[in-house]
Amino acid sequence: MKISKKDVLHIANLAHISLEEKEVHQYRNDLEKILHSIEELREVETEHVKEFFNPLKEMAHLKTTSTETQNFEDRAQNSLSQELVLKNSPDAQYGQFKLKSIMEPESKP
Amino acid sequence: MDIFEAHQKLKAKEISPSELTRQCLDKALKSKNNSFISIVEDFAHQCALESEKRIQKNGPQTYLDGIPFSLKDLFITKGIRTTAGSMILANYIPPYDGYVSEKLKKAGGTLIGKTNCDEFGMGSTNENSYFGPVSNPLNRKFVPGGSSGGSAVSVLEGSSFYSMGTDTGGSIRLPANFCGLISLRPSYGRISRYGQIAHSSSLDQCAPLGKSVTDMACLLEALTEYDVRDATNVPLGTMSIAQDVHQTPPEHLKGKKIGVYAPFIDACKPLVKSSLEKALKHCEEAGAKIVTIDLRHLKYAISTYYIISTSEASSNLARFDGIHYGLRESDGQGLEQTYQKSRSRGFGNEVKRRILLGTYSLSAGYYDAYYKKACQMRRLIFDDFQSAFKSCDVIFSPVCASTAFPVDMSQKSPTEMYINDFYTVPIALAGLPGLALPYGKGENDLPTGFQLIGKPFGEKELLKIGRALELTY
Repeated sequence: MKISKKDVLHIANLAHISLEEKEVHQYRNDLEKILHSIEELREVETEHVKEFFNPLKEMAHLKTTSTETQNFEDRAQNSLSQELVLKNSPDAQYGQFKLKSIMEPESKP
Repeated sequence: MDIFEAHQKLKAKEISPSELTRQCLDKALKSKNNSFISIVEDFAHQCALESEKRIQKNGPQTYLDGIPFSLKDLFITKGIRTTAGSMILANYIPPYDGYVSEKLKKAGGTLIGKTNCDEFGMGSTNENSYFGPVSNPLNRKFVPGGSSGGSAVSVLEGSSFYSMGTDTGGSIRLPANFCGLISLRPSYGRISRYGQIAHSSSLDQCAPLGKSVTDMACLLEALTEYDVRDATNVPLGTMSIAQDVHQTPPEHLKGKKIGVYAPFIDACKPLVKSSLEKALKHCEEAGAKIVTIDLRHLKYAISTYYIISTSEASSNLARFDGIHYGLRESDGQGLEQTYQKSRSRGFGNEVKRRILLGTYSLSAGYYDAYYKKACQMRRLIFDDFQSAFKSCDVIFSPVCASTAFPVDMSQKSPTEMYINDFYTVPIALAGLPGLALPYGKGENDLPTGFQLIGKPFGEKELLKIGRALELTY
């Protein structure tokens, strides 16, 4: 599997990671190597095999034990205070998370 | 001294929680192994004092009461820095306790500190930590294994009696194997993961590490109360198994069928292989029957695992954006650049590599060829195990083809590193429990051992077989 520099930059952009030129080269090499070794999966015929996403659902079919999970009851509960939640924020003001402006201020006429 | 023995001594007032804590803290503070990211001296003394008061009045309240332990730094601890071994969380102080921290506190345990680990649990050498590599005190030229390397070393060096780690694809079993200790990867859904920093949601499990099989039983007993806050936690209730497991006689092995897939053992290094063969002979002498099983699809487990785990990691780690918590690089031009720069600086090389691979597998045009294909393979692997369990009670498998790797192994190419997880990832994909036990020495005079794999939610039987075997050594 060949990976281009453009592919790496595209994936990095999707993943919100910026890369330096040197890193682009390194990750391109790494990804090619990894994808090459993963190619082995093509040997196996899986056309009619149903995907397996999570063990719980599958273990439930074994009927040896009930693996049914439960959901939260939908009711109001105590939660963390605003002050505590903001404590780890790199920047907070007026009881809110502070970040860079997303929209430019309207330019004056 | 394991948990059970320490518990008996505390009960008989032969030792006190403060003494145990002082001994462990002393070792932790003097350690040259870099096993801890944070040591919580004052908190530990305070926990020990509270235990002491309880014990003097009514004796220890649980097996864990008054016993010092450590937690991998992937477990959220209220008021105690929790870093995941990453620069991006280097200063993160959680405002709440996760399930494991909450339960061990309630059981009267004394937290010594948070142990070093590969960043977000991504690695098998413990060399991928922002806080530096962990040394293997058995021989400093070799790694302790990862990602829960700090946990294993903290137990090995005597700075804690047991440690809680995590296992996504072998992160508890590999360090236990390299350090000659015991660990258990429980069934998927057995222990709540509330407050365990996520790496790969369909694979991650919280996992104990200690010195005896009874340790594993004591910890399951403390950590299996149902927790509604983790939607994948199966409501099977608390496992009161410590006494039962501890009192299992060696005769329990008589007539037990142990499944073996011979190509797995043949692929190990010569000395590891001969140790495994000896261990199997040992099982037979103790009355177990060895049966041949077929696990042919497991050779594809590495490729399957690295597609699934990285895909899930790319999604889970999207939450680290420098806004709500963690590192923020704000010299960017706008919001988008703040995200990009914070993540690029805050994540280490291996984490970025896995995020990129996962993003690629899930991206438009590649989903069917990678992620979907891997999920189909995962079923074939699961089916192999199900068929095998028709003819055996537990499965015997290596943990690693070699003993501990030489240091700086992580400088090798990622594919060379990933292959080391060959024996540990299959049960993670299938959601099965696995007990890693030490057995003899392998190459470079370092410990080796094997894992026993149980049926889904078959931890009790797995531990009883493990305990019976332990008694025959």
